[in-house]
Amino acid sequence: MADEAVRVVLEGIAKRFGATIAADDISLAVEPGELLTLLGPSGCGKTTTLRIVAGLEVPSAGRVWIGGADVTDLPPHARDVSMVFQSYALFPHLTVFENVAYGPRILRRPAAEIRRAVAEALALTGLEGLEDRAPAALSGGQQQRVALARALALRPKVLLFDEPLSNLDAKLRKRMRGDIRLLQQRLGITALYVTHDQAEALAISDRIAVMDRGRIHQLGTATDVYTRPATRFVADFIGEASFLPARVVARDGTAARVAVGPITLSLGDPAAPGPVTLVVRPEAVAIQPARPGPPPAAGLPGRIERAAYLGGAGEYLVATDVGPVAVSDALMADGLLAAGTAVWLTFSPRGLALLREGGSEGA
Amino acid sequence: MRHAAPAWWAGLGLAAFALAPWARGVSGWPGSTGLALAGRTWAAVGIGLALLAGLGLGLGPWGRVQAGRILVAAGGVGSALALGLVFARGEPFGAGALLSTLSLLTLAGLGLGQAGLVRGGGFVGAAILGASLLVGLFVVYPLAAVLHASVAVGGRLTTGPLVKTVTSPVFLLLAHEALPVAPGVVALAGAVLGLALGSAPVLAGRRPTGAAIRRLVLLVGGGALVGLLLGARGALRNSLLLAGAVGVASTALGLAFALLDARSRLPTRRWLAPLSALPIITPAFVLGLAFIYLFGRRGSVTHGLLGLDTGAFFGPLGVAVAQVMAFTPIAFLVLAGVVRSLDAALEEAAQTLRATPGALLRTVTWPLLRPGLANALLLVMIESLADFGNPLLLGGGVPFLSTEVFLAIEGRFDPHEAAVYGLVLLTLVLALFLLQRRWLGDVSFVTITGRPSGGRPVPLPRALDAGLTGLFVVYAALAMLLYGSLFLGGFVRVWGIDHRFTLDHYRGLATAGLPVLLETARLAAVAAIPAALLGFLIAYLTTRHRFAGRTALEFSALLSYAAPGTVMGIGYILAFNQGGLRLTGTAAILVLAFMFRGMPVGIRSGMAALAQIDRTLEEASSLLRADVPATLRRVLVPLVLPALVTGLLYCFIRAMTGVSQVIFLVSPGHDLATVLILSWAEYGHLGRGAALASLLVLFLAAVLLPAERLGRRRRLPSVAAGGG
Repeated sequence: MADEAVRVVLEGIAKRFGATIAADDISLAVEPGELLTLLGPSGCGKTTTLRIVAGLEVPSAGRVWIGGADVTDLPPHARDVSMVFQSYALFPHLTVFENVAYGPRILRRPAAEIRRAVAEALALTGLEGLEDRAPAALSGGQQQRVALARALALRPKVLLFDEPLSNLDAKLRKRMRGDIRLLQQRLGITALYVTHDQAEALAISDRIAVMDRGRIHQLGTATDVYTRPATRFVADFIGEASFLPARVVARDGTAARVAVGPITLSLGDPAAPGPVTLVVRPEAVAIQPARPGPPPAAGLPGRIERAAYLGGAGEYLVATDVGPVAVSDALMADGLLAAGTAVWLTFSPRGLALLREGGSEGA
Repeated sequence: MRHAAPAWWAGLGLAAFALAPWARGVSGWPGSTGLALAGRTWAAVGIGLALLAGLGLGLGPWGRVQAGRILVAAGGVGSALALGLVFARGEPFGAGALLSTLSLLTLAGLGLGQAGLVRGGGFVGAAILGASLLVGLFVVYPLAAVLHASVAVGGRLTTGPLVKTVTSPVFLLLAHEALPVAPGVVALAGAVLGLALGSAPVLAGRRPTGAAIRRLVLLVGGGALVGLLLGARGALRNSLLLAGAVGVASTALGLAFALLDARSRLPTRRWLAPLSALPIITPAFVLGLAFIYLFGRRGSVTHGLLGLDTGAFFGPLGVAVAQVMAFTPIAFLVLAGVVRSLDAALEEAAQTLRATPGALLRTVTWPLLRPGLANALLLVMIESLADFGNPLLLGGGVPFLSTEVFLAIEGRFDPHEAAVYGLVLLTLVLALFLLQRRWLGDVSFVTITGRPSGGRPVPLPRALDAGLTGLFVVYAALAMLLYGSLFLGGFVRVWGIDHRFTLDHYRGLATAGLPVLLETARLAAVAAIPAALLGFLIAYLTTRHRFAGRTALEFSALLSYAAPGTVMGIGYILAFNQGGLRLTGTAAILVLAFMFRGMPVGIRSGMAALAQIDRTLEEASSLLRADVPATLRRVLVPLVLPALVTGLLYCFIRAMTGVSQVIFLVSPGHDLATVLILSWAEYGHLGRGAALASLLVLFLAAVLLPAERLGRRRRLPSVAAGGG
């Protein structure tokens, strides 16, 4: 559909609303055909950034480039972008067909071409047969599809998504995000996607920009941001994590020896010696009841504070000398361990990461 | 980029400049045109050049932003020159001047959008400038003329008229013949009473909180003021006391009716809504006319029933009763909304927290009602202060501010004195209006969630229900008596003396009244369309766009709503009686008066409708390549059309029922129905007045009915605001 995908570049974008700073020096590039997600809690500036790309907000500073052209001063209707709104923003007085045909009609395309474009967009989104319905007579999922079809009918170079799935129930949300990703890849459209749902972001993105308080904390692939978080905020916001004070005691080429309380772990991250924060994912920790005698070599002793049964796994909060550790462990044969049980924790290096000094900002 | 729009507007301006007469009353081409003036004054040369520049910029291959900036300069300078020329020459403006100015202003607005100085493009730029000019000329300028006339005589600043008017006994005299003591003593007594009331809770053993002290100060001050007013006389005192008394009485009645409306178990409940619609279609003074039938010297009640021959009801008492009858529905409409939105779940929550009925009233119901009560009180006080017909008909010669404005100019031929009265009245009303806006801002917490709660409102206790219903029955009976006597009055020879049936009054109407009624309807209809459109445009611009001067535009539009008709009337006379903007004696000034009286109604219904439309619809439209005019045409206007039509009908009704402003502006050959009714009533032709008033009320009822229907269908499908 898109003849040649374009690049979207944000250069030092800032937006102030009175005294509040919604976006603070945002710079990033969405590569042609890429789906880049702006992920963060509400109020982090992700929607403001998206609306600046759309032209719905004027940045206080910075430039926006789409396909090599500076569009910063252009109004929304003069930009080659389409947007899917959180509220869908379907025109209530128009039918499904008229909603999807709205853009081509504004551009005064010939009637036959309009019919073809609408039919194509409706086919892509699986809405054939609903042309004459009013938006109010559709289910939430169908309304969402109409919003997507309407955005696609103009064959835009850039597609913007503002939390498009947040009004759907959990199951439908999962299916729709797969559909959106498939469609975007098939059409090769450059897409900027805003969400606060980290699972959604991990599932559909080529790259993710994790934002907080108007700034980008980390920009990288899903694996990057999950396994090598740049800041404590990123580690905390994406997935679950416990943070333990630690110290790098030695370094050799590709790995570091890290002391955590009484034990020493080996991590594949050559950090400089000195104090660090150890990020521990719950699934990286194995739990076993303490037995008489000393703990195993890399076993951290602790006591279970809370225990919850989740069907597939047991979830524990374990108090240790270096701080609380969240643990997610496949249930052992003898079932859930009770609160108060003394345990040993052992760590698999795959779910560990280091935050260097200053890496705790934004937490 | 297309620059077609500037070229078209410049072409229109040039055509008007070269072909149409610049001033009215001058004819003959080409001598009367603006082009001919160019031989005599440089300003006209400038106007012509600015228009040519617009044409060139529209047709030429210029850069968009660059051309936009030059357009702003050319259009701005050109329209300023055109306005200046109109004022300087002092000849009433003609089609040439009008169209040239209009197109130059539009060119400047198109330039603003093109240069990116206003977001939203040329349409928004031109609309902002156009709306500002209209509001400036026909709302702000007349009010400024009132201010000017009150402090300047013959072009020189002086406090003469101000001092003379304010010190005259008609305005305020701190003495009263009926009181044996000096007014100061009465004021002191009032202050002491306030002190006693305010300090009672403190003496009762509660700790003096900040709120209690504020209340104390307020009560003492209020007591002193009321005491002072009671011991005085004059227009200021009369108007203030009247407004206060009518405000309190109408608010109390309105609250009683609102409680019945939401929580009564009696069938009379259903009569509340239709009764509240009556004042909308009835000029306020028409009730005063009916009042004379019932309580006048030969009134059915005072004379016929009680055998009295009394003029007691001519004066403040009669005015007060007539106003309470007319304005209680306003208080009811405000309070009905508040009482209905009282969340029953809140009361249930308080009850589960062990609140007794008394505590419930004190801690939950009253704090939620208070802003609504203050709002209703202030609105009624504003209406009472601004009311003109009732004090004139029933005042019995007692001075009131609104009537003195009129009498000063029509009786004493002193525009400066009239201006001072107008200024005082405007100041009072504006102060109340701003107070009311503050309260209104606070009212919003009453609705809290907007989610219908499961709780059912607790019905009123039976005794209270019966008592309030009794009150309502008395009010309704009186209203029916008034309307009944009005309709009957048109069919009897001389009310109170000769009660034989006659059709003479209606036959008389065929020549004297009916043409005027139809002409009034025609002018009101001509005015209602631009009024509703301009009102919607201003509502759209101020709620959906940010631009320099937005607050000023909003405030000026507010002025047109708040300013009492008499003040606007004297303002129009002062502003449009001579010079380049002379309009008096024409039908145009009546249409303009109607238009800017109706415009605030259009603004309010536009704002209410726009508030229901999720802004993302417009954003979605703009991302689908639609510019502002296309979005308005394809999305907003279809969605607000019912509100637009309702607003239009209300503008029409407001124009047809108003009297206070247009009474200054009618001229031989351009008479209006309300003014005619009032003057017939004043000169004793009650029968004919009643007949015409009946026709007017019936006619407006026929207009109002579809308006109400439309208003009720205004809800949009919920998908418009689905989610976030």
